[in-house]
Amino acid sequence: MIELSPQLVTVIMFGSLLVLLISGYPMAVLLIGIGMGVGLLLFGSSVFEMFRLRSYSILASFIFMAVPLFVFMGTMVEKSGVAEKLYGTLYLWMGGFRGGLAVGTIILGTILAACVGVIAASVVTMGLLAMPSMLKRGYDKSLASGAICAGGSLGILIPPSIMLIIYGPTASISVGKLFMSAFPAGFVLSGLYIAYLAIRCFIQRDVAPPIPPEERAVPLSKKLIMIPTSLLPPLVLILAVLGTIFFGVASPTEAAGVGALASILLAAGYRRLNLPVLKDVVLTTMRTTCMVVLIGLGAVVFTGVFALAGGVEVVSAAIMAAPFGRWGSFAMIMLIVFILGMFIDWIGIIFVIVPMVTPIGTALGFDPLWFAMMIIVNLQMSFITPPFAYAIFFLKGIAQPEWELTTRDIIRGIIPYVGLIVVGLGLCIIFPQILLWLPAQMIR
Amino acid sequence: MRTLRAIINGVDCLSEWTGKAASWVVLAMVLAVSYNVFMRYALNAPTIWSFDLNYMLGGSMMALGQAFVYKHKGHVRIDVISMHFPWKTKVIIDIVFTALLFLPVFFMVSKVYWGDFVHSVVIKETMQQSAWYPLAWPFKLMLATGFSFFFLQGIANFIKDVAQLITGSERL
Repeated sequence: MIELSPQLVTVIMFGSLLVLLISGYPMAVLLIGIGMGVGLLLFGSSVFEMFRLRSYSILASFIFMAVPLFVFMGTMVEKSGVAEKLYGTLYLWMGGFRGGLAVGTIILGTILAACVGVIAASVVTMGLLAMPSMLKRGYDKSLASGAICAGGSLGILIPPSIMLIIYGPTASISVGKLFMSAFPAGFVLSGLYIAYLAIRCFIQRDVAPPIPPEERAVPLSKKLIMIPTSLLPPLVLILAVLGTIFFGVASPTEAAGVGALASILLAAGYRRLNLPVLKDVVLTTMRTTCMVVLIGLGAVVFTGVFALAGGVEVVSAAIMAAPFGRWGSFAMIMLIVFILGMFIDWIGIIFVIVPMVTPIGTALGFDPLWFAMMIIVNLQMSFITPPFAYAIFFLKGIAQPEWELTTRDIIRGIIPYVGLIVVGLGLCIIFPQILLWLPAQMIR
Repeated sequence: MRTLRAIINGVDCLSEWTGKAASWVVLAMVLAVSYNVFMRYALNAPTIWSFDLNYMLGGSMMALGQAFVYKHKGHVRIDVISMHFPWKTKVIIDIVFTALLFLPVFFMVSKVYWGDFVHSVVIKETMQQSAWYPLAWPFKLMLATGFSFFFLQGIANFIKDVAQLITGSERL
């Protein structure tokens, strides 16, 4: 065992993490390896027992079990055909307006977001549905891909969201309250996206032409009946899950279980449920869950060793020393989260950074719930800021050769949304009630 | 060479089947949670076992699925830069990190989890999270098994990578 100054430990742990991440080796293993390696040097073999205790508290945590259940629900919803029906309706009702399909994509993303808790399900579904139809109508490639990536990323902000489930226990905040706070936050962003698209398509006449009337000549009665048949099933699902949490009937884990069962029934109702689909859904659920949880296990030993070595004090002293008082420190935290979001996975950011900055936020006198939501909204940018941006990866992953879609096209389309999220953050600073009103109404 | 191939195939098979079997656990969780919610709100007779059963099932799945996910290289890699490396560099990186980090780390993780399992059996430990107080060792057996299989898959991946480096082809 050796003695190292906390400053040196900070540099060694984060420096080696950032350098080793470049290798492309799984992030979770690097976190565990660095945590245990430094821990072994500083505290000897007790680090292994510490790993067991801290990792066990995740594996045996009731609230964390909402993660697989919500992933299951989201994947099942993706397979159920709900999105196809919804998009069909939006296509007919909105296609006639300039930019209507792009706005429809954001609306679809918002509704889907309330059914799924990860962005993979929503970006992939929306990309496969909306991208071909937008390109066929002569929409600008960047505009179309931007709408899909930004609308799809709402999937992890608007509850249910596995991000909120991980964030809650990590910051000792009620997951139910985070859910109720994230709802209006998601709507604010969604509204900003729609406003941006509407204004841009109004000014630039050729980026998103309307669909000619003869191609959407469907009798009004049929168009009217499409609204309830496509919208009602997902709405029931949303209300079943979020209503139970809001009215204090069920914990998030229970709501997730009920939602998962409802998603099975939904898929059965749309005649999409069969054994191959079920096999696929449970396997996808396990893969996502295992991937998330291993990063969590890595992060608990990394942050545990870091905190024991006094590194947290070093970081908080540095942040507290920022100029312009507490808002200066706040801006610094937001900037750190934003920059990390460009380069690393959001799961790692939450598990590693949140335990460190949460006490700082409280010490600076910010409302813990508001502070948490600001970081969560900020993390929306991590999905769309290159080089490491999941939304771009997923859209690129499903892109068909005939779309001729380059990463550059996607990035060009996505940059305006980074600005819009910053505007959204600004609104939440000026009007904190956006984030705090609904949770205060919750029935405990 | 033949023994190595047999080891790799054996481990791959083990990971594949435990993973596929463990993935069905989530369906059991869905049913257990829904059943409890129904009993509590419709019949006002909540089950005593639902709470513990839920995290025991979920935690077991999270441990037992790791080997499967690792076999299919499903863990997050920050590969925006490394994807441009030549394949040899990538394989060497994997070999070095697996030997220096993965194998020692998960050897120790398996060891402490097996130790904890034995301890639970000896003292007949019960879970203390709810009023059910179930025995802890079956859950801990699943966790220890999961991490051990994960370690084995690490060995298998390591041998595969070394073979690929030597022969220059994916097949062993």
